[in-house]
Amino acid sequence: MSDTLETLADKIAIIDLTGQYNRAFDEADAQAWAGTFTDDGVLDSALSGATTGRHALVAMCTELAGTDQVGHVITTDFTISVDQDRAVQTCTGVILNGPNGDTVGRYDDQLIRTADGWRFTYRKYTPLSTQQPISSAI
Amino acid sequence: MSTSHGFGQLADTYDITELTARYNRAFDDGEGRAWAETFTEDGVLESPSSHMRGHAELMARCLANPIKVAHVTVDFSVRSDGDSATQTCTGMIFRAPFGGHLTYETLGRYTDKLVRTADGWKFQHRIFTPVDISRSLH
Repeated sequence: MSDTLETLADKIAIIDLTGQYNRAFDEADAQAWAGTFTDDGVLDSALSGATTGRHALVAMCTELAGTDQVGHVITTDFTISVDQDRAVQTCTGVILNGPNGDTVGRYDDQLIRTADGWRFTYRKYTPLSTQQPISSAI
Repeated sequence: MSTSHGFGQLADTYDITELTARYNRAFDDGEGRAWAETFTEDGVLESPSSHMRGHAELMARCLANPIKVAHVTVDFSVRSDGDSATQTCTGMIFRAPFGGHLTYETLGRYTDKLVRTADGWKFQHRIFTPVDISRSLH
């Protein structure tokens, strides 16, 4: 039932990558932030739409980081599945002082192992308040 | 006193934090059965306003929740010893009505007892104790 040492190390590395993502954006380090994605990585946000590729991601971070158009992101409550060189992660993102105030949402991520470590191939952020109400989800 | 974890305890710690994340998301998504099944068959959830025992009571509570909420947990302290474990973590609960603004609901502490089952770790007993923030900030 429990993970192997290698799988557990992968999960910790992915949580670490997620921390790097958060801090790089907060510090407006566009290259480092975009570098948490693969070259063709996609950030798909209900807030800003889909942004594809490192160049576009660098431009997005350069334009937005440090402005009042975004907030500070904290992530927690990670669930991760690793299958050899691919992984999926779901985690909760708390955005403080964002354009809509404080929000809570969910990241659904796909990752791949590269020569430089794990990288996001696809991140989708869904703020909780845009999800379907429980009454229609049952 | 030993302060470092062997691999087995490290894996247990990770698995228990994942169980906690699944608990949060299942409740927030209105998935009553999945939420109840984070507990043992006779598992207990206590708070100052409620006491539930067993899957049927737990599932009914989840499905009856009328307002979209977001459970967020951080600051996990986990100790495992063979097939039993304890966890303390901090929980924040936000209200997020569909299409409405997110509002902070409560902050508190989960005090958990867990057991290892054939299906992985399960909560045997959870106590949620709200913290009086207005008092603690002074």
